[in-house]
Order: sequence, then structure tokens, then C-alpha cells
Amino acid sequence: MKKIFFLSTIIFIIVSCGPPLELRSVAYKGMYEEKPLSVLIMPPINRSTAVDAKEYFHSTLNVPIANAGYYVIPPFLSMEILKKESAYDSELFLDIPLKKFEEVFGADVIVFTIIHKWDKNKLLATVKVDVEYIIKSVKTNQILYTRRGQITYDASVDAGNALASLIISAINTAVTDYVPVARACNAFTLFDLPRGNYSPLHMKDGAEKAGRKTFKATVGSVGYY
Amino acid sequence: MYKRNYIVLITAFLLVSCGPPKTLYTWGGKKYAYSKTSYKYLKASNEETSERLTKTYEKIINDQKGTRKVPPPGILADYGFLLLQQNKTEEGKQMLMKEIELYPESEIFITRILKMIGE
Repeated sequence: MKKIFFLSTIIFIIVSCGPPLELRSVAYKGMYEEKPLSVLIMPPINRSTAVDAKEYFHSTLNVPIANAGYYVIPPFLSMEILKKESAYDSELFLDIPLKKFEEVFGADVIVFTIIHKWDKNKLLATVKVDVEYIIKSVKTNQILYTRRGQITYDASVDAGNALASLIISAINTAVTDYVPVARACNAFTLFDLPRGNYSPLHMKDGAEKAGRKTFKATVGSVGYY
Repeated sequence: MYKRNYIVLITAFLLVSCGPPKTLYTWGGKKYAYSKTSYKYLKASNEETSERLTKTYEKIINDQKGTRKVPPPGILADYGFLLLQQNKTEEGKQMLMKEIELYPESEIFITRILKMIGE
């Protein structure tokens, strides 16, 4: 028994190396105070050279946020209205009062994403993404949640021998669509988003650890949904 | 000694990684995976992609296996929006109203859409 305890302590230390992580109730204090319910996902801000990244990232964000227990304002319908109202360029709204979004969409918070980098490397079979997530309160304009990750998506395949692996991996990267990459980034980054009203963990996860504000990670595919 | 530690480690790993993922909602399963069909529709909206997305919405709404056992937020309304685009106005409106019923917080936005359709 003692041994198991000793071992699990070692595992814990290995996992939690580096400066101590903050609790979610501290790191995302505003989320616990404001208890937002309705979330509007804005079209991503694309500062990378991958021209289509914006639309494809947009189509992957509602699932993890809904799964975290929030009401996500219908993504296709809200995109249509944002286009109609000439509000499709999220950059314009990043630093201005957001009260209007409460009136039109009934939103409590707005999710902005900034794609800083999106580089494919066929030889290494990787996609390197630098993406920032910002959740702002419509009522107070405060940033309630923010994380920025330099994420390497590994599309490599082990085919048994080095040359075959290299060729298959290169093909795999060439066909790697934005969707699985975006989904892996979302899943990795948003794991510590405090749970919303529809989750049984709502207001009960404040004592869990928050992730680091900025981080580097290598991720693989996260299945389908 | 080492062997025992090894077993403990493997057991710890299995404990952490076992069990089916319990999510609030399911999103169409493998055949009609929402992320794929919505992405394809977004990339090119044509008869084929629109039909696949329709089937995905129907699966999510009628075959919901998430712990909440109700369609996820936004899906009924987005399905309604797709039906409206297919000129199925009455069915579309019904879906929009179901969204309000299930998620009252959607009322501000959906009522606005219903008014726009009525105009």
C-alpha cells in the first residue's frame, strides 16, 4: 500500500513538473462570478497564411463548448446574421464594447480565436499551429478566459520501416484537413474551461487545476464527433 | 519488486484510460460525424453536402445518446435554418420554435430570426 502511494506520488510529480498551476477558480475567477450561459462564437481571426483556416476553425468550436455545458448560439445561423450585419470581421470587435451582442444574440460571453500561425511540414508530417482563445464578457467587457498554445499536430504514421513511414506520413500531412487539427487544438486548450450550467460539474470544478496561459504541446487526432 | 511496480503502473494507466467517454451530447456517430459533414457543407454547399448535413442533424436530434438525452444547443435551430434554405418554411419554423422550448435562453436571437422570416 505504502509502495503504491509512493509510486502515485512520483507519477503526480512527473505530471505536474514546473511552476505550480493555479486553481480554475483563481485563474478564471470571472467565469465563476458571472456564470455565463449563452456563448457566441465569433469567426476566427486569421493572421496566418492559411487562407481557409478561418471557416474551418469556426466549424469545430461549438462542439467542445457545448460539451462543456454552455448554450452555444447556433453557429450557422449566427454566422449568417454576422455576415448580413457586416460583422464578419471579428478583429473589429476585439477591443470595443460588446453590449450590442447581448441585444441581438442574447449572448453572455463571446469567444474570439486568433490563428497566429498554421504551418504544414510535409517532411516531418506535422502541422504547427499557434492559436489564442479569448472569452470576453458582454456585460463587463472583461476577459474571463484566455489561453494561447503553440501546438504541433503530429500526423506521422509508423509503417514498420523508415522509408515507408516517411512516405505515408508525408501523404498523410498533405491530406490533413484543417478539421482534425482544429479539433485537436480545441480539445487540448479548452479542457480546463470551467463547466457551464448544463454540466453536472457546474460550479463544482473550481478546485481543479487550470492549464497554463501559454503552452507548447504536441497532440494527435482526438477521434470523431 | 520491479515487476510489481510495473503492474501497479499498468493498472494505474488502465484505470485512467478505461471506460466509455461520457459526454453531455453525441454528435452523429461515425457515419454522420457532425464535424465532418458541417465542414463539408461549409466548404461547398450543394445538394449532396446539404443532404448529408440534414441526415446528421436528424441523427443528432432523434438518436441522442449523450448524458443529457436532448439535442445539443443550436442544433435544432441550425437544422431549422437548413430547412428554410430548402424552402421547407413550416418545418424550419417548427425547429426554431423547438430550440426556444428546449433552450429558453435562445429566445432573443431566435425570435429575431422568426420575425425576419415573417417579413
